[in-house]
Amino acid sequence: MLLGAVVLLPYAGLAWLLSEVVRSGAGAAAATLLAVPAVLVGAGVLVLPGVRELATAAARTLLDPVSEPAEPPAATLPGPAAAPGAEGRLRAACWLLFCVACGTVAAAAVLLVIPQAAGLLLAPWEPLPGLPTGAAAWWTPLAGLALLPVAAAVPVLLGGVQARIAPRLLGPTAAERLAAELERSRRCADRQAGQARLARELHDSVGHALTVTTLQAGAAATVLESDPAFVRRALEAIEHTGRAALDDLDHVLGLLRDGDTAAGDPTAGDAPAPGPAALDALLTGARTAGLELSAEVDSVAGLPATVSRELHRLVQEGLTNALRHSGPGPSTLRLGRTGDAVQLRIANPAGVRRRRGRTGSGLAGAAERVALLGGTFGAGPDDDGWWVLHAHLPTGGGGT
Amino acid sequence: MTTGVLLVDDEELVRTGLRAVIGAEPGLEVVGEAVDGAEVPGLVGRLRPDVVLMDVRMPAVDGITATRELLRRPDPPRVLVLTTFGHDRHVYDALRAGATGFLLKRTPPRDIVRAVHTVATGESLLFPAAVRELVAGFATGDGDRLAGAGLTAREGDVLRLVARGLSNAEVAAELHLGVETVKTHVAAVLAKTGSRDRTQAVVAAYESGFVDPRFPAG
Repeated sequence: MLLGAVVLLPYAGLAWLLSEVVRSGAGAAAATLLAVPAVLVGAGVLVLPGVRELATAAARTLLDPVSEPAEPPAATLPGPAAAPGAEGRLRAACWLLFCVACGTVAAAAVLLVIPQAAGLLLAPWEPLPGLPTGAAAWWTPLAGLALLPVAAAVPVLLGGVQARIAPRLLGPTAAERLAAELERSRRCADRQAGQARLARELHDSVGHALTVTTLQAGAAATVLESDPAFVRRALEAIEHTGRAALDDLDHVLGLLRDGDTAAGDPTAGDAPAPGPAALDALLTGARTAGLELSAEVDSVAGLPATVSRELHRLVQEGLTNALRHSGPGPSTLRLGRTGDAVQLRIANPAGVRRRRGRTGSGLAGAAERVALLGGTFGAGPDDDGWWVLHAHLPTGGGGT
Repeated sequence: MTTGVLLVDDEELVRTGLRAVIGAEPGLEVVGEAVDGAEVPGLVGRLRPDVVLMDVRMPAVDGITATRELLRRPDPPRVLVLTTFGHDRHVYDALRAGATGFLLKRTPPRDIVRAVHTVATGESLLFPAAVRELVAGFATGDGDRLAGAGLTAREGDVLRLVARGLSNAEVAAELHLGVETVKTHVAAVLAKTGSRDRTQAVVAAYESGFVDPRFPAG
């Protein structure tokens, strides 16, 4: 309202200037010449870029304490980053006009009513034009007192009306609401995916540790007297496994405590990853199982744990698929490493049982995990009769 | 007669624990160990185990695939699937692939050896309640092997009791029949449903709606 009154001043000045020009008899032509650009400029100001942001910031600062408490400010008034469209500008212009109107009324109330009230209060003792004085003015102090609350009430009431209307005129348009909603649901999905992954990690790591310790403890109790050497080894295994599981737990719970950003970060929160020996064991296992495989593997030593773990899963997935679905002939595996990425390509002759366009849940899961790590993944038949799995995983050039 | 057991699990601590528990039980003997499903066919051919304790998730060849391969053999051993978690789709898949039962790795030692004995003899269904829960959770509803099986009313009664985990002797007592008669009925049920053991027949019974897995069989 105050702003409205302030904004009003140049317009009032302009209007006074125009009326003076007309009164001085300069002629209608000159008045029009002056009036047209003046009105255009005056109207243009209302839709200037920035008006909406300024009005919003001002409204947020001045009106929020009296706005609906159930609605958080961020939900009712768009943030400064929101770029206003034509609709947003038009509504902001309406808001500014409304502010000017309110400011006019409020200024009138304050500037006219208060002197009037003062006059009424003083009338019995002071002869004033238009008012009775002496005993005949016995009622004027009462009227003056009654007018004062009116002077106070008008700005307060108008302020209330403005606070109510501000969210409607300055609040987000339908498109902005939709964009914000989409952004919110995307962030929510990211967070949930991250949390689900951490839950799986916990499930796997702690479940595995508890299983092993329970089994070892039961076995140790069974052979307590007959095999003391086993009991000793079992106790050591239980101690070691329990400690490693607690480390895992500490790590994952720490990530959850750190909040959304860490939980959504796919590179965080993994137990020690399988190393080069485990990868060799996979290749050997596949060959033992009957896969004719030629492999070319760069060293995977020193990769971040999450990348190493995912590579292991991908190799396992790829070799399992090759074992199940390969046509006759040798399969190839190439794991290449560059400065900031690893490339994996597993190809096998496409078998007759593999139908185009069908991917197993294992491959879909692999695609999701690789995407979480910021990589790319694909699996499917190529035009030369091969079934190809390929993955590109950024390594970030460092370890975890 | 000693029951030979083959342990298949990629986790060494699981193998050593099971070896200690099973080795301490009279009548059971661990004849070999493997770390991956890929090794199973060779070892089974050489060691002739009666029961294979098979992990589900293994590096190269998983337990489901290995079980399926194993049961193509002329005289296959019984497969008992090892699992960390009971409510697991892979365990259900293993049962469908022909595993006789499944065993939680956290099972107390005395129940582990009892389960191996039960599976070796094939006298009754292992952990009937757990099997029912698995089927209720994961049944696809597409297995309707019982529709054209042509079970007699009496064979249907026997199958319902088998699904509750009753042994032949218990079924005989329940139905006031001789044990030999019950054995004949069970054999007929297995033949007509194309099942290799009680577990397969019970899974088929649940899947076809012959017995509703959501309610206790009976």
